[in-house]
Amino acid sequence: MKKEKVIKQTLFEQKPRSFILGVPISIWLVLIVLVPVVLMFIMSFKQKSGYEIVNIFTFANYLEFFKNETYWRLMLKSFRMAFIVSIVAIITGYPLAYFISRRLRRFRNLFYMLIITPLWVSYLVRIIAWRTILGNKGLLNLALLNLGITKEPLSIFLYNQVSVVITLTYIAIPFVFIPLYTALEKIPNNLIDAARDLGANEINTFINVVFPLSLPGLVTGFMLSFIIALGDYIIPAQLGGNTGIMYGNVVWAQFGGAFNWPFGSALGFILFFVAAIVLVIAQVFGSKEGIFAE
Amino acid sequence: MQENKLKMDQNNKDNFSVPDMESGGKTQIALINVTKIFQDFTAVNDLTFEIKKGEFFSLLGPSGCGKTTTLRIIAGLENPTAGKILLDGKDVTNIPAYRRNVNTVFQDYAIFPHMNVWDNIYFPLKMKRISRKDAGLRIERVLKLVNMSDYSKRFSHQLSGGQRQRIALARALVNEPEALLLDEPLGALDFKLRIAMQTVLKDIQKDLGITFVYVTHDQTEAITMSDRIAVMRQGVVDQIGTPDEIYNLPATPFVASFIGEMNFIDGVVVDELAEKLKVKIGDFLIICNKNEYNLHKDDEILISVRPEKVFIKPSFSLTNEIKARLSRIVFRGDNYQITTTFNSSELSSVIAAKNLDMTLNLNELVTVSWNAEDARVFPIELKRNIIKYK
Amino acid sequence: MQNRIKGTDLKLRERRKFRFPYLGIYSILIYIFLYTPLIVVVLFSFSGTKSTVSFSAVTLKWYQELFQNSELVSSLLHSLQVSLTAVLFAIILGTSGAFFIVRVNFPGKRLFITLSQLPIILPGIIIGIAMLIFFINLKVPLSMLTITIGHISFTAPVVMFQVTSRLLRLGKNYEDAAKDLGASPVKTLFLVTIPMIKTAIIGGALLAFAMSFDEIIITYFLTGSWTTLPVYIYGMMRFGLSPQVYAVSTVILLFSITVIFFMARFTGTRAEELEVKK
Repeated sequence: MKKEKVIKQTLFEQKPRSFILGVPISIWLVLIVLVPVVLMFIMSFKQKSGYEIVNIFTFANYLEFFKNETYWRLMLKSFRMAFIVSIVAIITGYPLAYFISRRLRRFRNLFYMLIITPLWVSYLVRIIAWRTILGNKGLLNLALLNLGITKEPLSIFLYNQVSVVITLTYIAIPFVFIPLYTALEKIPNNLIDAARDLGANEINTFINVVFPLSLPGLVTGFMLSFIIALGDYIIPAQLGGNTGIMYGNVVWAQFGGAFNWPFGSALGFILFFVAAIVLVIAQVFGSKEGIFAE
Repeated sequence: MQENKLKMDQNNKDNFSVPDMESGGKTQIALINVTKIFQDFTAVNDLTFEIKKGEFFSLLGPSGCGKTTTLRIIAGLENPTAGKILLDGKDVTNIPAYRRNVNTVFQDYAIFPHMNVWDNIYFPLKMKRISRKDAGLRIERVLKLVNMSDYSKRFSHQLSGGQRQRIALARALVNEPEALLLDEPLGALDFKLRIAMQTVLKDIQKDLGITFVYVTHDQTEAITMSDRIAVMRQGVVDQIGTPDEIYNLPATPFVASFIGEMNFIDGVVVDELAEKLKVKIGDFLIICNKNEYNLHKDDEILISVRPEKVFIKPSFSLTNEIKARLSRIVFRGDNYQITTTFNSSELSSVIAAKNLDMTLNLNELVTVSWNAEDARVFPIELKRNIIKYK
Repeated sequence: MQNRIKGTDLKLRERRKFRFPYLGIYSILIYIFLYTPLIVVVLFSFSGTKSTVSFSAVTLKWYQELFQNSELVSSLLHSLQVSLTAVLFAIILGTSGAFFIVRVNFPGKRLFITLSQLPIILPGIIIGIAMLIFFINLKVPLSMLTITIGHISFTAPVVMFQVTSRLLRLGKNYEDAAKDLGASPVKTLFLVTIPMIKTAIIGGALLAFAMSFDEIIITYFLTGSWTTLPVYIYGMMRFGLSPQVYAVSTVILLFSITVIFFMARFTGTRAEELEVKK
């Protein structure tokens, strides 16, 4: 196979015509991505007064986040929950990805698609499903009642942190699975053969060869799941009750009844900042193709 | 480098300054002062040479020497940073690839996977707005030429490597271009198939009379197939000549080392005679013939001589004779390679297996001889260009 | 001597036999975990009673009500409008953007690529807020327009990165070959390049469509009285789970599976896939 020498043309050697290609996407980038985020950033320095937004420059919103226990504690709580979600998702997803990519010969594609399918099923439908299972009138209670284990429906299953974590994990598993699977699949078989040849059984091979090589995919999957869990506001709203609130809920609240857009923007921007850090970590330690590995 | 250019003008009768004042055939392709620089890497450095109509011309060299870039410049797929390209006397430097009348066979064939064989070959004709009906005959003809007549409905993924290569060839020929450019077309084939295809390519070239410009790193391939070879190194042409000239009269140690096997010995000129030089190698004095490198007394030089021109314990007498110790004997099927050492230099001799009619013992002190006219001399500075691994 | 060798052989083989146990069973359990909730939803959609606990009669009543629910049907049509429009723009923006990234060497490319990924990678709530503020500043009322533009924010990069990835794998060789054989840049683009990236464009478009059709997080910020299907369903959810919700969920499920099925067939084993894979 011929080694591709990537030789880039100098900037001025290219036809100016080809830059036209970039015009539509650049307009999109500026108008639809950059400008709104910048506007949000600017908004975070304004202040609300009654039902108006006053055009002054202030750090008050950010200070509020740090001074008021409620907010930064909530961020920490959401952090913790997102972390748990991601860990569980990895524990669930990794053996699965390993099994499909390294143990299955036939039907590998089929089983891969079977994991991906729930990802394509509506997000809301999946939330509805868990509300159904965990609710007072839901499947779990139904089963317990019918099996005689309980006399009345238990309401502990729903509207708490656990139900939020379960549902978030359910959403996160395919997002963890894909980069993991891609990374595992890419490990050349001859490396495994070499390890076996040199006397390693499956566990040794895994610890010394497979796992280290799968780490970038693992990092990417973890980070993806983390960000998804951290910023979600719908699942906590639907399944969290009072104790399952996450950061996303208070951010959302600022744009609902509270009408404190500047504060909401500040909170939102803090979330953006945290997410950005997580993304940078993912870029540095994660797989090169990021989330677009096919 | 100055030296090289001078040498080329003097020594190389195939070089030129005015394109059409040429003996032996009209010029098909001419490169004049062509340079190509990629950002900070000079791929092709001031090349000037010509390729004659109907000849099988090879660009030979190690990877990275600029031969593929040169080919792409001729094809129009790269624009030279400086210089001109002439096709059939016309300046095509600023004419893009799709309007030049040369076609390329790519190293990975580049058969369009979304079209079948027939449509692939039809493509260049379609670009010339030839209707499918009119094209039919030409396509059939060229398919017959490469022996793939039954494959017109197949798709790329249904073909083997060798078959794809032949389709690529057919597709490039169907338009009857002025010249065919081939970029290491046989590189991906296995050995036997490669040898067979070399013959096929050569035959097609002779039959059609089309100029072939052939890029390869395989010197055996180049020597077997070419009318003339340009040996390239790091963006410059070290020598252009017929296979015989390249093999027996290498212009530089690089060329000497790149083609075939070669012995190299360091030496010092101790005396200068009319047409010859007296040279000291180790403890011995030998005679060398003077050549285009003007070497004088006290010059440090490099001597090259082909192993098949070196004889151990010969029964006839030759110009130069030294004594060396037998260090290695290797049986190589149809020949033996016998290596001797003297004064920390090595000299190898290659002798056909059937001709080995003496007993040889390792560590034996033997007479090693060669004729002065079979050796070449070079200034020692050029030694660093010798290719170590081919 | 033979026996000694055989002995060590056996030991090695036994050691090698030590693999991760129960991997297959674990995997099956996970699959069950993934699909049970969905099956539950489907089952409940046929349940006869209004309360969602027991399984009295099997009925299609809820589906009937569904089709008679004019608000729901119109929100479905709205969703189609939004998603089709967003995908159309995504194809144009994404394909041209992909060519831009792959073929043109411009400064700041890495930054450009990272920024383009933001709408997909960042939590939706941030994009939602940002777009909301954007439209308020422009004094644009919340309507189909705002929702559609909000969707274009993530549909465009989805298509762009699918096409980019394919273009990179394709390499320049086919384009060079076409040009060499006499095709002008325009002809090369339409006769060679685009047919070869066709499935990437379609795949990206389908993925973007699915994401857009299902989108609630960003849409919820940008919706006025004009709703899309997910917004309507969310509204239904906030007031308890009526069986209609199950019915519409089941319909969506079936639809998704059909789409996936066709996507798999369509982009699975095309000849060019095989070719490019080599």
